[in-house]
Amino acid sequence: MWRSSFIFWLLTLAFVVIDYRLFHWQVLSSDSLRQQAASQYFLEFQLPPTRGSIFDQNGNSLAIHQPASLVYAQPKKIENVKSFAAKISDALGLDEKEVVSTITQPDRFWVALSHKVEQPIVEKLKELNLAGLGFEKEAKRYYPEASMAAHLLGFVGSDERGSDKGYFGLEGYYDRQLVGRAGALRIEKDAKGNPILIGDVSRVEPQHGRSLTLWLDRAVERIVERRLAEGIAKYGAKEGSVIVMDPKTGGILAMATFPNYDPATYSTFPSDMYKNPLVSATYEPGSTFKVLVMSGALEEKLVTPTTTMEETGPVEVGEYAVQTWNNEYHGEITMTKVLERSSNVGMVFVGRKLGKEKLIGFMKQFGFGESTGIDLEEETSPGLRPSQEWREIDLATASFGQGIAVTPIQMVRAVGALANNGALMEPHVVSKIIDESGKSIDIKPKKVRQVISGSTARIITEMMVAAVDNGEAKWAKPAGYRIAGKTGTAQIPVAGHYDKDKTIASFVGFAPADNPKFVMLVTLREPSTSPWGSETAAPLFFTISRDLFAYWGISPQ
Amino acid sequence: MIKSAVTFFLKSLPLFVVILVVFQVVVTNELAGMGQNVTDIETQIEAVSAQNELLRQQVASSSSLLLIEEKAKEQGFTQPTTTSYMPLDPLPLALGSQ
Repeated sequence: MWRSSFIFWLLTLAFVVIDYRLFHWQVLSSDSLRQQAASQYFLEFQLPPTRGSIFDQNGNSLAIHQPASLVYAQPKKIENVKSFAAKISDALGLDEKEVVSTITQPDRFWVALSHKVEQPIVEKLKELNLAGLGFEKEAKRYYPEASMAAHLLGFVGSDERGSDKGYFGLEGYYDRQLVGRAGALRIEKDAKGNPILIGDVSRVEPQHGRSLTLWLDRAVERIVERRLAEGIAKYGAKEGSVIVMDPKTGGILAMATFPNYDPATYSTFPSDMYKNPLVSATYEPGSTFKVLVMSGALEEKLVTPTTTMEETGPVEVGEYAVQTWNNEYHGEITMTKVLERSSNVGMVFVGRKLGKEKLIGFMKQFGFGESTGIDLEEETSPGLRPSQEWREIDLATASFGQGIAVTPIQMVRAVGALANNGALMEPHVVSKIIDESGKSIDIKPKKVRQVISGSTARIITEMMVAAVDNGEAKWAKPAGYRIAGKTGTAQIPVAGHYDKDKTIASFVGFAPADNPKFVMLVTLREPSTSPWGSETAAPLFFTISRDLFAYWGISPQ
Repeated sequence: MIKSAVTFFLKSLPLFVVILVVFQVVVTNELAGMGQNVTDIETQIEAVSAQNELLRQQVASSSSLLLIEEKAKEQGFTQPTTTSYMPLDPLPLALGSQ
């Protein structure tokens, strides 16, 4: 009897134990076991998207992806650590001791050896046929024109997860468009790891990144960069920059600044070089600003080109005295002569005619104190002081472009309005966004507002042509062309006062004056051969203009 | 006659079923085993795509302005020092020379 009970309870216990194990496997651990099972009979992997490319207006590549691989090691499969490390370090240019310490880390099944290794090196590594060495596709950014337009393009680095991310310039601003979206593939596999055609398949196609077509013409960019580099060397400047813009569309045709960096090897350059100074750094525009103040006074009908004023000596402004740049005075002069001779005294006269409120109003109308909206990541805009903080001396100095801070893109956009019948355009680098199917989204030129009338624009254009033909820089001007422009020489503020030697020399202008193809701003910081814009930035502007006329086939008028 | 046709059909039905089942097993087996072919084709596609990408990169590199400038210099091309413009309308019949 007791035997029957014993066997009964033994069987009951076994039954309970088995029940518990089944419950454990089928309920408590079901998720993890299901995943383990799926990994045995399912192949799952991400389908990486291809980053979009960047082309100039003629379809030439400025930034594309190139095939590259992540090289990794599986330490458990390495047969001879020393020999493996020696061959790998030689091929990849790594330190052998570091490779040894990487692949001998305890309990590691997988270690990355080098990221984004280019295809020729990968082929060499494959030929070595090393056990424990593996490769995974990892595309790399390639810039066929090297450091051309580096600040405009930006670069591709990594985010905190190690994925590609664009920084600065277009790579940063349009990162979401360029990066695309990864796809996924889940397919049932057989015992050998081959896909089963009639098995379970789930596929989400990757969305490859969209490509960008720019307004930029790489030939114009090359002309500008070459001449700028020559100019910086010739005039002994510390830095230099040029923007060329189509005044009718706001399209940026070229944008160059030196010193620059190579986006392919950005990490070898100091990080303070990454920001594009043309959209993020400020400077005092100096006499180039006079054309804008003058156009405001013309628009308000406060002056005409033939309105005269008496330039007999320095003009008193409160406790200060404002003098001309060369301390020469010419008696009765017209407004046109004020621009030709770049007379600060004449501009104080104009500024007083306009008055503080109207001057500040025109500054705002021309876009100062606000971002231009250009499609580059790092644009900033210095604010304008509220009008109640302006003193009489501020009005006087602002009328000849000192005591105010602007960015180069703000300046070229404002003068672009003079070239465009008074219409202020939003500057843009990208003209089209193209998706992987080839469908193109045009970014239409955008008129921000009408700042001055067309007739005022024509009047100020003639005054600027006269300033070029009769001004200090007339010796450098290409013969036979009508170029509207203005020189600028601004002192650099240092620790609350102006440095007496250091200047920012600049020239802003557009040509041909009657139907402008381009508006351009040239700035040189601290030129050492001469501080004056008429002797440095102006000749450089005209040199670039000569090349542009030839490139575009613009004959003398 | 109809009765005999129906009888024949009913008697042959199991045979048809067996034939179809065998056919399905054979086809399924074939398809299941074609995974290797799929892998081979996908490997080929990847190799060709990688080659395509490499060639696209080489085209971009070869057509870069910097390279063209270098090659032009090597072949003796120089920057033009002067530019002449000729009106096309009216087209000149003779040009003076200096």
